[in-house]
Amino acid sequence: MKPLYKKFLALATGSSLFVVFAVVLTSSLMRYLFNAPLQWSEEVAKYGMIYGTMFGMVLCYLDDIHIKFGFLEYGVPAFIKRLLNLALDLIALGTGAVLAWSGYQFVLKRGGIDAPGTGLPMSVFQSAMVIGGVCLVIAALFQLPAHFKGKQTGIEV
Amino acid sequence: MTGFLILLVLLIIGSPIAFAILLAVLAHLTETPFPISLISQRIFAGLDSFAILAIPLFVLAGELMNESGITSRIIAFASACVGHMRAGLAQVNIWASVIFAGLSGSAVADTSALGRIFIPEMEKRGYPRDFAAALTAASSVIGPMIPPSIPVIIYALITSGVSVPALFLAGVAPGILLAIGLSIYVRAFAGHFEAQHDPLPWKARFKALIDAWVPLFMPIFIVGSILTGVVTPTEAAALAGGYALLAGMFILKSLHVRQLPKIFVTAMRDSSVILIIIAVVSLANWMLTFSQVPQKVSAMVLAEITSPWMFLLMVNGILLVVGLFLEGIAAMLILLPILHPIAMSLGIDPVHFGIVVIFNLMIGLITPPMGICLFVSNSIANVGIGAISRRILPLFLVELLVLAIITFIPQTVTFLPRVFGF
Amino acid sequence: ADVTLTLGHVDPAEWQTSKKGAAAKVFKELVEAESGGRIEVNVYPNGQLGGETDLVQSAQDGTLSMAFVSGAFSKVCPEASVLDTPYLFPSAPIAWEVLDGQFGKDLSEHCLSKTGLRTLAYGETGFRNFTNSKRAIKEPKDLDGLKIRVMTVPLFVEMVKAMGGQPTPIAWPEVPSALSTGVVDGQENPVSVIAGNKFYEIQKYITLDGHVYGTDFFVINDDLYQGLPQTDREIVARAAKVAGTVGRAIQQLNSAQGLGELAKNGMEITALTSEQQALFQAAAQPAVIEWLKTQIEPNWIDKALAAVKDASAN
Ligand code: NA
Ligand code: NA
Repeated sequence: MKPLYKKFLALATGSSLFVVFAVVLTSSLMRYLFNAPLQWSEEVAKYGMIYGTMFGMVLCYLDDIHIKFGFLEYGVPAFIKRLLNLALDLIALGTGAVLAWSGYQFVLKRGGIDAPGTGLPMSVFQSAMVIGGVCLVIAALFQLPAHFKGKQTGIEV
Repeated sequence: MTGFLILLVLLIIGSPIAFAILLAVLAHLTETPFPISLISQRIFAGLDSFAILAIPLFVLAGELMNESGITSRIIAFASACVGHMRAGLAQVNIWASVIFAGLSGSAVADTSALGRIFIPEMEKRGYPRDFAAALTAASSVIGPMIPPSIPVIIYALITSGVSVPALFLAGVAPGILLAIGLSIYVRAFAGHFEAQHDPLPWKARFKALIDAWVPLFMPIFIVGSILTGVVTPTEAAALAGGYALLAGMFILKSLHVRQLPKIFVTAMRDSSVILIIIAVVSLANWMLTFSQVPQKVSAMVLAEITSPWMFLLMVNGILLVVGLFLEGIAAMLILLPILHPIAMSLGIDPVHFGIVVIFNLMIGLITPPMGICLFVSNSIANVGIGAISRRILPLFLVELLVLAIITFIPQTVTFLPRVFGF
Repeated sequence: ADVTLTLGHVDPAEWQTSKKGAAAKVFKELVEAESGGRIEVNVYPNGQLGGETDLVQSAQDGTLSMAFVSGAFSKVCPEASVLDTPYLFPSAPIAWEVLDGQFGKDLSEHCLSKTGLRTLAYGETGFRNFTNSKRAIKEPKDLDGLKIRVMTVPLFVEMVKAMGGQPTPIAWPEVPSALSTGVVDGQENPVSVIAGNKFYEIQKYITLDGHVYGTDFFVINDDLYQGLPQTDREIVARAAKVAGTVGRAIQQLNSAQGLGELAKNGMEITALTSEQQALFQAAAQPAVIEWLKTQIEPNWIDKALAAVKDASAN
């Protein structure tokens, strides 16, 4: 299941950037070559990037490439290290939950107005916060069971 | 206060900085009347900017260039130019970074692309492996100084109103000064590692130049398309990607459609490392601004410091220390909202100030304990952070010297933008 | 202090050169002095706490107490966009009379019921004008084919289209560079903004057509306002009115000084005769009104036109 989930995240992450790239390139060419600028391109590109960032953030968590301090990476006893790793996955779980819940409140409060370029309600774009949070929660749930499988089996670190 | 403690604990146990800040803000939020929706609101607002698009787009362009085998052509060209000098391959390492800098916006990209080739190759020619790793990391600092540059875009974003093209031009001279400084250093102290050889015949050099036209032309194409009004600076990042894509697929014929999905995924994923920090830092900054912390700090500083030179000296000191522990862009996001207004009220040129800040924080990428380029370089060389750190110390001192020059002779920075009328 | 009012706007803080900066300063000084220190006002200028839309929504949900905003107000109260009808107000004093009179009251009451934001006073951003690098614009057809940077606001897009220009969205931070390299030919803004951003260095022509009168809305979260004691409500409301007046005055001053600066720096200034002005109005106004009718209750448009007519007759 986890590899499949990562595939889904990768697809979502990559497609977001593809949309950003295609839209920015197209709109500048439309303006320069055909004198026909697009009114919606800025919004689609910006909000495409926000979606991409949310999916990418979850992928970074699973690939362990987020920026962090490495004070305790080396030189702590193995069992403490295991505890720390558990704590880190719980932190991700919590972060995802907070993001999803606060995103939901955000959409309820501020999603009503329309984005002027596309004419779509802002909630369409703001939902990226909810979706990112939920994806992070799911990812953390995939990581957690490994900590309780017993000491001898390889724990992904 | 609770928020600050939680932040500290989470950072110490190795939580991603982004998650730590978010949870710390949540803890602080419970002591305020603000609704929890504020968290998502500020994260969304922090990314809701057209200018930020340049970050994933430049990362994409760099990734496309890399995958099209551009790197080896850059090296061949640098080799043809400086390979016959004393410490030839070390020179090539440095000057390849200068050319690579014209394609990539970040030092990390430079370290990982060039390190993979240079570290084993330099070892073969007689350089100690840890020296090769250290030099690769040290010279990668050139990457974000010469345009395009992600830190420059972020600086312009934070300080709103400082022109990106002006900053791009301003970074060129410091980048080249740094290359010259490192080049002099290896000539003096690394010459004994490698036997000197004759320069390549002119015919071979000419061929290397022809082979390298695709990467060499890219910066000209990008800057040209901005100056002729085809694109805005942000859109130029997409154009750079388009150039790399077409060149890789149709001119160099080394890039295949089936490679593209992976390239887009990697580029967006690696960008989101920075983007998510931009987002949560904007959340934290909102909180601090609301409590008027930056306003109070700058009032305090301005009461004590009245000379621009003293302030620049102080900023350099603070940033060097901060750079030891914090990644450069994150540091910029946290500190600039406080430092920049002070610099402006002391009458410091915003372009000069920007380049000094960026240069300083980019040096932090090669210093232990928290130096990302050091880590990346070590992940390729596998010699241990300790060994690389010892080798990097003299190179670090060279970079400090260049920092001092660009700090106290502002003309080294502002000359080029002036020529172009900024 | 018993109460702290937080107030956000996106303009600079300096009072001599920034209308919202001046208004905010006057408001803060008046309220703090008259309340004998019971009320403290914290001002967040320069968009420190967010862009205009953000500030308006923050005032709505109580994250902020007050916001001084212009265009963004019509995002939460669309009827306010009737004030953006091209060539609606023949002069600033007429706009003041309309906004400070019955029409302004009706609009603010309507928006209060719709948004929970009370409009305490109206300030001004000023009349907007076209600048470009290609040619002097004397009649609408001179705009033909010119790429004009506009805000991503449908009304502005419709207006420029109706006059024959090519409305082009460019994010504000990129506007100076886009104008100087020729990504777009022109833009439209009040004179004070044009001078303040030194657009005279990159644009040759300005036409003082005053197509849209930019209104500033000084809004407060009404729940918070109603929670104040009667005397404090009076202090706040009075201070806001004074602030609106000062904002208008500083805007006028900056506009006058700015125009001198444009001339001094070699911009070619085109002032329109009333015949020429009528041509612009005929090109832009009906089209935008047609469009507006699809967005808001049409009687707001009639009311606004009638109010202007009344004020002009006096
Ligand atoms: Na670069
Ligand atoms: Na290098």
